[in-house]
Amino acid sequence: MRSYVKRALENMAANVFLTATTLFTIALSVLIAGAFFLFFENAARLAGDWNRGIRVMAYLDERFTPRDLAGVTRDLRSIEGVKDIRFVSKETALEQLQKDLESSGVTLSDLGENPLPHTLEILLSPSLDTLDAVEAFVESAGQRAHVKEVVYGHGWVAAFLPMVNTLKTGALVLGGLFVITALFVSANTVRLAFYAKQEEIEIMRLVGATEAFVNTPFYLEGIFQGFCGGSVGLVILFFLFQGIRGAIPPEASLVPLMDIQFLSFPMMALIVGAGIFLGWLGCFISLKSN
Amino acid sequence: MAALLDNTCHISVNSTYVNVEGRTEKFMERKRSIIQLFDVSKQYGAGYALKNITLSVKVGDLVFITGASGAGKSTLLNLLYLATPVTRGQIIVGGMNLARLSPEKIPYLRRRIGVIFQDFKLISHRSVFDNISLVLEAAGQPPAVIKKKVEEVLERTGMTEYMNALPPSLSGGQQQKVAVARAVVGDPDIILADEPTGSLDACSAEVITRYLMEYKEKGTTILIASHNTALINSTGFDVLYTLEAGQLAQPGENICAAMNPIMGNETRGRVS
Ligand SMILES: Nc1ncnc2c1ncn2[C@@H]1O[C@H](COP(=O)(O)OP(=O)(O)OP(=O)(O)O)[C@@H](O)[C@H]1O
Ligand SMILES: [Mg+2]
Repeated sequence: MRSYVKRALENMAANVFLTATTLFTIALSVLIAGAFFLFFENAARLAGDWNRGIRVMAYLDERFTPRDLAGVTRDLRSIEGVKDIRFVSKETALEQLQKDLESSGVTLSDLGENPLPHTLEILLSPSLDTLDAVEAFVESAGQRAHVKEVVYGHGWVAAFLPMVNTLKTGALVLGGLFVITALFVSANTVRLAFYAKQEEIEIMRLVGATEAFVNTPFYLEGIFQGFCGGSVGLVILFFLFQGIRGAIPPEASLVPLMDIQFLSFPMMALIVGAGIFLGWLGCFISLKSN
Repeated sequence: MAALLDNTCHISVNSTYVNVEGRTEKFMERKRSIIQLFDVSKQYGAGYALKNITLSVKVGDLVFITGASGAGKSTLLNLLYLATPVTRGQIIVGGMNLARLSPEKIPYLRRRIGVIFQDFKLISHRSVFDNISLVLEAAGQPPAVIKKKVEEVLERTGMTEYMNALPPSLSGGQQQKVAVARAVVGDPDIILADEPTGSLDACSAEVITRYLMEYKEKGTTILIASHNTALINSTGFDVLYTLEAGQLAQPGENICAAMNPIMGNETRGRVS
C-alpha cells in the first residue's frame, strides 16, 4: 500500500500540469454545482418560511360571542389543511390598531363603539400549495356558522404559489443538468489525463504487473484529485458567497441577510464526496476503456 | 552473405561464450521444450506477419532468429508474451497454452519472461532505477531485495552512475542497457532479446552479450532476434531460424543454409 501511495504521489509530481488541470476542472464543476445547491437550499428554506406564513383571516359576525369560540374553532378545524387557529378579539384588534396608528402620529379617540369584528387567524398547512386548494379552503370556511367573511392576500398568494412550484421544478431540472455536465466534464478530463499515462500502463502490464498493481495508484490519484478539487471548489464558493453577501446593502435586500446561509454541513460533505466520485469515475472509465 | 558465413564459422569456432562441448546428443534430446509453436499465423489486417510457423525451443537453448526487416522477428517474440494474440495456431510457453490463458494469469506468464524490447519501452518520467525496480515491485519482492538486485544489474550493465537519470536524457545505447538490465533483473526463465545490441557500440555490445550469455550458462532460455550478423558471431546459437516474409525459410531455400549446414534452421550452431 505504501508503495502505491508513493507511486501515486510521484505520478502527480511528475505531471504537475495535468494534475492541476484535473484538479481545477473538478473544482470548477463542484463550484458550479455547489453554487446552484447554495441557491436552491436558500430558496427552498425561504420559500418554506413563506409557505408557513400563508394566513387566512376569518371575520366573525355580530352574533358571535367568545362562548361560541370552541364550536367555531372545532368546525373550522374539520376542514382539511388547517394548521393553527388563533383568536383575535375585537378589543385586541382595536388596541393593535391604535398602537399602529399612534406610531404614525394619528390618534384614535372618538371612535365610539368598537367597529372591528372578532377575527380568527387561520394558519394553513404547507400541503395547501396550490391556488385552487387555498381557494377551496376559503370557500368552505366561508360557509361555516358565525363566519361572515374569509379573506386572504389574493394577489400575493396567487403570484407566489405557482412561482414557488415552478422554481422548485426548474431548479431541480437545472441542477440536474449542472450536475450531469460537471460529471461529464470532470470524468472526461481525468480520462484525457490518462492518455498521457497510457505508455506507462502498457509497459507495466508488459513486465508482469497485475491489474491491481497498475490500477491502484491511479485510483488513489483520482480520488485524491477529486477530494482536493472538491475541497478547493467549496472553499472558492464560500469566499464568493461571503463576498456577494457582504456586497448587498441590507436595505436593498428582500429577505433578512442572516436568513441566507452557506451550504449545510451534509451538503458540503456530499459535494466533496461528489468530487471524490468524479475522480474515481474518470479513472474507472479510463481503465475500462483500454 | 558469403562473408557472413565465413565470419560465422570462424568466430563460432573460437567463441568462448557458448560452449556446448561435452553435451551428448542424448542429453540434448532429453531436454524438455519450453516454447512450442504449432502452425502459428499472425495477421495484421489482410497481411500475414507470420505464416504457418511450427517450432519448438528446448530449455536452456540459445535460439537465434534472423531475417530481413519486416520478416516477422519481433512479431514472433511478441506472440510469446501475449503482447498480441495469435490469429491461428497454438503456442505453449512454460507449459501454459497461451490461447487458453485467462487474463489474470497473463502477468504470471510475463514475469517468467524478460523482454528486451526493440524500442526499449522505458517509462520516460521514471528514473532508470525505478524503471528496473518496477519488475520486482510488480512481482511483490521486498524493498531490500529489490535494491540489491537492481543495483547489481545496474553495475553489470555499467549504468550505475545513471540510476537517477530519466530515460529521455540518455543516449540510445544507454537506454538499451537499461532495457537489458530490466529484462534480466527478475531472473526470468526465458529472455527474449529483440535487437539487443542494435544501438550499442562494438565494445558495449560485447559487454552486453557476454552478460546475456552468463544467463544462458545459468540455464536461462534465450531467444535473440536480430538481423545483425556480427551478433550471431559473438553469441553463437543452439538453433538458428531464418524468417522470410513471415515464414520459416527451409534449409534448401535459404541461401545461407544451402551454402553452409550450420546456418540451416534447427541446426546446431556450435562446432566443437
Ligand atoms: N502492430 C502492427 N500493426 C500492423 N502491422 C504490423 C504491426 N506489427 C508488425 N506489423 C507488420 O508485420 C510485419 C513484421 O513486422 P516485425 O516487426 O515483426 O518485423 P521485424 O522482423 O521485427 O523487422 P525489424 O528487423 O525491422 O525489426 C511487418 O510487415 C510489419 O509491417
Ligand atoms: Mg523487429
